[in-house]
Amino acid sequence: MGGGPLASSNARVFQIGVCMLFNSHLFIFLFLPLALGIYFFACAMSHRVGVYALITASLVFYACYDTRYIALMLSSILFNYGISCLLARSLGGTASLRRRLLVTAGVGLNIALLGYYKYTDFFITNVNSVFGATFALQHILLPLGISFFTFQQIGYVVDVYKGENSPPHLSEYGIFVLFFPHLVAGPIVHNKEIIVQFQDDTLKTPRWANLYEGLALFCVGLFKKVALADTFATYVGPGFDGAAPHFLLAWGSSLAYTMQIYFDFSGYSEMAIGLACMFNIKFPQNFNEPYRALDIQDFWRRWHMTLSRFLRQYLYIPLGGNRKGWGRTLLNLFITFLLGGIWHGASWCFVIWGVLHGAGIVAHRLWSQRGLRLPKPLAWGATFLFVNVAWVFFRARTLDAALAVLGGMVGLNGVLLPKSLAALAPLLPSLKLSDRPFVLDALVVVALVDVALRPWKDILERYVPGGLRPAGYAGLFLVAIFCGNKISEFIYFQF
Amino acid sequence: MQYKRAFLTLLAVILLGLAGGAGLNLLVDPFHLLHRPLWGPPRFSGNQRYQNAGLINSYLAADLGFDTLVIGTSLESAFGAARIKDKLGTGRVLVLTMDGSLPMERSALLERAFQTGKVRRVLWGVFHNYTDMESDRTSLEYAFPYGLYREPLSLPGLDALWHYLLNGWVFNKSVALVAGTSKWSTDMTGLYNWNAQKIRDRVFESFNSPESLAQHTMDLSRGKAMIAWARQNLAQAGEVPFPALDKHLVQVVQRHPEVRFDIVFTPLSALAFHLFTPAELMRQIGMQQHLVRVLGREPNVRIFAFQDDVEVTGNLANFWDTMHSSYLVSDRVVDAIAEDRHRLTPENVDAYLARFLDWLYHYEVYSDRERSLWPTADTAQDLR
Repeated sequence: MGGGPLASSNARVFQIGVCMLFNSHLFIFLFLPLALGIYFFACAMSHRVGVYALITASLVFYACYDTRYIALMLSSILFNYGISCLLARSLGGTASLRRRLLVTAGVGLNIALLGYYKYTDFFITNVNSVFGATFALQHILLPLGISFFTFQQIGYVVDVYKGENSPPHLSEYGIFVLFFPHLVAGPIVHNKEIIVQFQDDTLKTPRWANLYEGLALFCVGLFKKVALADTFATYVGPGFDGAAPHFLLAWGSSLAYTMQIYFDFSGYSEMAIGLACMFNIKFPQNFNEPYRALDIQDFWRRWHMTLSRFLRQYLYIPLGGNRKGWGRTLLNLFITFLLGGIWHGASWCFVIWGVLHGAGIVAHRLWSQRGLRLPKPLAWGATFLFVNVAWVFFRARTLDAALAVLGGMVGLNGVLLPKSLAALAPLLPSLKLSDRPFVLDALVVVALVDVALRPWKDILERYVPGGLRPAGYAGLFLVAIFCGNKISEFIYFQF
Repeated sequence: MQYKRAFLTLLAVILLGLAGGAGLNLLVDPFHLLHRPLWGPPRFSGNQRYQNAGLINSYLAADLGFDTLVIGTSLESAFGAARIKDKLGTGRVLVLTMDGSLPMERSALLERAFQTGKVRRVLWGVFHNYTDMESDRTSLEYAFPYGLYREPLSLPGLDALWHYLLNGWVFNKSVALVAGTSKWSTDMTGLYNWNAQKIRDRVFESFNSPESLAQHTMDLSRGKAMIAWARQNLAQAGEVPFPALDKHLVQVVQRHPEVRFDIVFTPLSALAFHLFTPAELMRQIGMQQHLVRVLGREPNVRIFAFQDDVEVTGNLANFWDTMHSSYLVSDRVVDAIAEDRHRLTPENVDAYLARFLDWLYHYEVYSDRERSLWPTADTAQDLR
């Protein structure tokens, strides 16, 4: 047969017509330089022209994925902007009935939009299954980035309702929602931290420091995505997409996915933050070494930090937060994580993932309240193990597939020795050899790289110029470009 | 100033690295997509999905006398270019087969080849996946680089070219070619011909071992009822849609009346038909009826089928699995085409299929190496 797996993955590159992922050549070598050049050139003419230029670039960026939902997104922007203007003009505080009606309509319609596009078929499937009905599935195509731009606009409407914000010019509101670095997969930015930057005239000329830091961060993110996440991805499929994985394969695949989703999403976030930085816009940090967390609460302070911030601000606190007693606090926490799980996707696997994390947070609170503490290594191990098990539900396509992997992890599907450990076969004569790949070698490499880079982590992350660092970042970029034999989508695009 | 220098250094190293890598790929061009080798003898990859694009761009399109193509899968890979040229009296022949390829891939390749304006004749092997109900099915296992088969100056063509030049996998091939460590073949005509005698003999022995023959006998007995059912329902077999066949073969042929097509149902072993499901068997049969019905009267089309060549299809010793036969069988097919034998026409197709199914129903496992077309160590040609 012609070609192996490498050639096969290579071919996918040549299959794609117009592809505008951050890791695509079209984006890196054509769109980005053009967008940067046009933006700063337009800014030199006037502040407003610059914003319009960036809106146009962002719409082109979105249109490269799908033109069908541009009208929907623009309608959503106009609707939310209209609601916020009406709210701003309405007198009275949060107790005003008119303001309450407006904010309810605003938030409600956003949620309805999200619900329709994301959860209709899930709802129909469950109604059919519970009541034996035969309603036809609608197969509605999910608009790219809807979960992100809907959340950001809900936050904006609520802030205006609370009087914490007032509507800017429509173009500034538009670019807050449309700005292409965060448009399709976050980070979930807050209106207050973004709009003010677009209003600042001192940020309308290119800055060497931002260009350098942004490009350096983009190189690191690109490397994480292409060289690390996509490598781990090759180990994930055999365990999750096959039937009844054996013990080592199940563990290998689940660990590989744990690594894949981290490098994929944190790499994407770093690319987004770096891109924004080149435009002189600072995005909030989205990851802070989450797998070093010592408890589940700590994990959520480090993982997808902008989502945690949003859920805390616009869900947990409005539910009552910790102001309504101990029991209610635990309930609010659980609800917040349950809804956070559902936000990720319309399937029972995401519901279970949310339930697991909600239950984990509640258990952690109860544990902490009693003043109990685990030794650090044990606390880290327990947290990592919990997160890893929960990711099984996040990755599996069906509940049965998740249970098959978990069954494998507890040995229900037997034990086979991976080929890479064939040297151990004489010592373990009772084990058969498996022809599936094993993730151990890749994990060892990551662990070594992590340990080796640890002392220089601060230096690396501060992106200070000087020495060989610029060449180092360029090296990461070149490795990612030349060794990225395929253009794979980012995991968080599906949400 | 410090940041300015750092940014410019970062950018410069990136640009230099890109230019260096892309420059080497451009200069060496291992798959000959842009040009034939600038120095040394040409070397060709067995990676058909990539190499075929280069063969079209740099050999078919050039004035090197190529005017005939062999299209198909691994079943047609052993068709000898020299034999076709001699027997059919064509110009030079390019074998552009792709192992395990899909209908859409083969038509994409052909359309690109037609754009060169050089193709006069096509010998087209019809694989059983033309019965697919999904006309545009793609393969993830052996993904096809469609971009390389687009007009080089189109947007997708340029996009693919860009990826080709900035590709580490291609870069490794370039380095190996420059360093002289590449083991790629220098023989273009027998490039895809599986002629590694040792491997082939080993597979042959395995397929024809006593244990395998016992298994084949069991398979055959299970298939009898299905064959009987197919015989009774032969008339309806072609009365169903064949979207993949229509879109990726019939319409391609109809778009190119200036090209002469010899469409071939390459012989499979009798056993292969017993292993289909009833639905698959009916679609195999129906596909032949359908194809002959829609193309059988076209003046530039001839259709050939060889299942009734029982000396080939009935003797399992001609095969190393249920479908792949000795390259001497391919030679026999080429000879028959040259002599216009084994043709299917609207007048004879139903009788041919009825005769074939009758024979298939009564077929018993038979493997005789002495009477086979399997080459011996003495008679094997070194096609590499």
